[in-house]
Amino acid sequence: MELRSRGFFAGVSLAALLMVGVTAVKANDSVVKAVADPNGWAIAGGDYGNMRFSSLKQITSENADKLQLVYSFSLASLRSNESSPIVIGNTMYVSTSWGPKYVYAIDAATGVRKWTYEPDIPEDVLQYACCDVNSRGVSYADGKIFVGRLDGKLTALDANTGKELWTANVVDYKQGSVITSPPLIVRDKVITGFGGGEYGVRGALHAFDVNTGKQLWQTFTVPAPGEPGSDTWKGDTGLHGGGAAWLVGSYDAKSDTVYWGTSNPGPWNTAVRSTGDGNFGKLTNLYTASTLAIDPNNGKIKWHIQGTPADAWDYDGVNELVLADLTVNGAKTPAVMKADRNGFFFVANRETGKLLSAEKYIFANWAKKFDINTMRAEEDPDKRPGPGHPAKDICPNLIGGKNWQPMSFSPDTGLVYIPSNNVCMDWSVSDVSYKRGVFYLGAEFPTKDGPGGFNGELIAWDPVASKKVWSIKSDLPFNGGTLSTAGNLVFWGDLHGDFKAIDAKSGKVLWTKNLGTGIGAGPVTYSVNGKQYVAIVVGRTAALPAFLGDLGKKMVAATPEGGALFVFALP
Amino acid sequence: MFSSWFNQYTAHGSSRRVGLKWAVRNMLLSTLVAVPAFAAGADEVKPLRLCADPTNLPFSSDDPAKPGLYLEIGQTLGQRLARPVTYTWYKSYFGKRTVRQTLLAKQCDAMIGLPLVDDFMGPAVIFSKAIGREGYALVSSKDRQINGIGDLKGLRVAVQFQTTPQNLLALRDEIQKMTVLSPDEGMQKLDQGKVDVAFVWAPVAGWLNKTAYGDKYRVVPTEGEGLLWPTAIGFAKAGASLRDEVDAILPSLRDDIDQLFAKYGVPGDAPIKFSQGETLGAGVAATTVEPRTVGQVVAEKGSSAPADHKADLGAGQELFNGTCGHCHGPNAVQSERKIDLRLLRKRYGEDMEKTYWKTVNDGRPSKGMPAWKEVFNEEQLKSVYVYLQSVQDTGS
Repeated sequence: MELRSRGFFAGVSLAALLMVGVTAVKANDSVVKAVADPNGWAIAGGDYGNMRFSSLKQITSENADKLQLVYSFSLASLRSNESSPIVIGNTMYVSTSWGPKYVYAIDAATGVRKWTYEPDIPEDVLQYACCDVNSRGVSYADGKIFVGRLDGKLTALDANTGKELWTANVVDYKQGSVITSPPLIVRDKVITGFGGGEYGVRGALHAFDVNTGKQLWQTFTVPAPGEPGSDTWKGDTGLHGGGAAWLVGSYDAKSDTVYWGTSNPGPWNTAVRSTGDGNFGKLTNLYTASTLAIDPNNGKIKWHIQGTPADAWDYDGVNELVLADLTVNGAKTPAVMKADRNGFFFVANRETGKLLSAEKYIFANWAKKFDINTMRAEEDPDKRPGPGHPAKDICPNLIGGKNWQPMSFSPDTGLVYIPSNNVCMDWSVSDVSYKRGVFYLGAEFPTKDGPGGFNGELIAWDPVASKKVWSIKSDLPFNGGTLSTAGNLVFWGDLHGDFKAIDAKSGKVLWTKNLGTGIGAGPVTYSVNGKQYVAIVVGRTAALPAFLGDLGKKMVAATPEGGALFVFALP
Repeated sequence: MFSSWFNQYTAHGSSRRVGLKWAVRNMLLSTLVAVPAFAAGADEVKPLRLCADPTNLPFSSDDPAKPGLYLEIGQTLGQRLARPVTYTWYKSYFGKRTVRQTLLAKQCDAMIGLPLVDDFMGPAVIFSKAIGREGYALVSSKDRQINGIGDLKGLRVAVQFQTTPQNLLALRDEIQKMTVLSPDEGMQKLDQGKVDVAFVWAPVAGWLNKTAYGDKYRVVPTEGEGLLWPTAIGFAKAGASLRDEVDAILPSLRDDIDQLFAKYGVPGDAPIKFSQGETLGAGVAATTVEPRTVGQVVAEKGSSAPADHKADLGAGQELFNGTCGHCHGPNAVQSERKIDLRLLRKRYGEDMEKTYWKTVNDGRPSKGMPAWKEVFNEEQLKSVYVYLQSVQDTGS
């Protein structure tokens, strides 16, 4: 509770200032400078810690109902537009879906286009992108824009001209591995992962030289036979064990640590890689479904927290790590937070890797609790599918209590704003997945509505008290990410295309505008010439609903496909 | 269908040169000659539209020289139904999603090679009678006798990731497993001596054994839950009358279809029954015609081209600007990136020439690019290629 007192916030501000001093030495100077400018939005997640919080407060809970459209900008690419724009100075950089099909640099105040970059994306890439043709944004450093691409490449552009400077090959997209998220830049290194955990890949993170695109290190997220941790796998299965790090990373300058989440292990049948039941012992399949702390100098793994040991439910651990300082048991704690797909909200000390709490933030029944001492979930054996043991009514669904859509943390309220899902499933692991030429067999995962008559919920979560403070329920899951601001506001869009400004303390909806197509992206805010703007990319997902049966049909029916950027401000 | 083809090609030629009009007419004529049933039926005959993966040999491919087992079966069916066969290409990488987005989205009338099982996407998908059997096989050297799961004890076995063989052997610690992602990789490991047995998808193993490994290995099908299925032709629910028509003629095609399965090396022997560990198994089906590869065709074409580079370049430019320039821009300069031929080198690298010949020979009808094989001779097309090489974008 002290967390919300004014005294605490004075402390946070001071800490933030001190951090800047430290980061100037450790992180990338140009990024630190851009992040320190409260008028910009320098990283897709707002800052190195993915807080998605802005100190701007021209737009507040008092005047948000007067928000008006300043301009809109067609992205010229339909479906699954999931980009968080970034704003450096008065220029906004925004990527589109399909590869990306385009990266635009526009005047952030007027929407006038400065340049367009169109990478040469192979036409067959849709066939390999499991979960749609998304791009979640680009990254900035040293006068360059970095673009992760569906075709497994990483491209650096001149931020002033859009001219291509270099392109590095990260991964072969034809193995089902695509890059959908912006890279993380630490000093002279551009760090990226890739997707494809289900298709037999071995997850990895790669670092490339900012100036040349030369690969500097590669770290597999799953150890090879003989390496430490390899005894958590049966036989050679770790070599195709998944653990793909396909979402965004975070960085803490003080401890000089990069944080990244990893996906579920493969194959789905746990008997192949573990024991096939809940008595898996040490066969936990490291480092899948985990949070990894990594040394940016050499890629070495410093420590890990595995959220779902020996995963049997496709509970990826990829969700973004939010770094913030919390007061836990009266002590100021450098925390790392994750709203895991498995339904537990994890809070750990980001410097030591010690897990502080893991509590359910949505309805979850696969485990009664997560024991932070043993680092194991107390599972319900009925809900763990295994060979010859199909399980019914497992919650959450494989899309997770929260999927990729980013949450935000407001140091003002001390709350995390989580776009959550309330969906369940049946699962039988006797099925095998489709392989080239092997008919069209493959597992189907019947989707069930979650309890309570709603499928999605925006949750304001107290990460210290581990409790829900307020929430807004919705009929559809997979709604957009959130932004919180010092104006006591949370901005959030849903799959119906309704973009809302919400009172951060009370959860009262203050303003709603329908933008014509479903929203998955997280909003951003920035200021040019003293005027604060709020920007949101719209364009609903198309491929993901295909996994979700009748519920998926509702998600598709809710709005047409789309692709646009909308920018709002006070009159 | 007929008239839309005509419109497409005449629109493409528009009011350009007389030579092009001649070319279009010539091309249409050649189409008529090639498919007599099509010509005779004119407006009444609807094509048999098949959905297929363009890059999934031995099953299907968009390379007319190497159509694959399923397309050959489709062509046999089409002949008997007196209907020309057309294809909707879609990669099968995402399994059932492929069936939903092609067959069930009415993109085609039929899809060959679906498993004939009650719970497979029913009732949306309906099936013909079985046309064959497919499943997993144990592949090993011919002198090794494997007649049941017990014979795998102590051996090194390649198993395909996320398949029944992997599941089946998971709890048998006495067998040393090596995980592979494809039958191709399994066969490689076997050939490199890294495993003793490959437990992989039988049709692909049989085809590779035949085409790449000189029939060196014994490919024995297996039987048991999730190991062997009858194969059928799938239709959307609304296609019941076509299905009935196909079912009526299938018995008369029995021998033809069996021969096609054998041609592609799909093992048709009695399978090893896994559930009971029974001992069965026999040799591999007899070898027939070796399919030719794309690379070979291209190489032959390339080597037969004339050597005078300068003459080629000038002639190529003239031909390009007179014909191709209509869409691709004079001297290959225009602003739409997808059809910017100055990017061929950047886009295809070493595959540039191969891609050129394939595209020019066969066209990309769905994207408005006609096939020019029957219109210009090889020498003319080669000269266009020489010209295009001279305009490639070499910037970073």
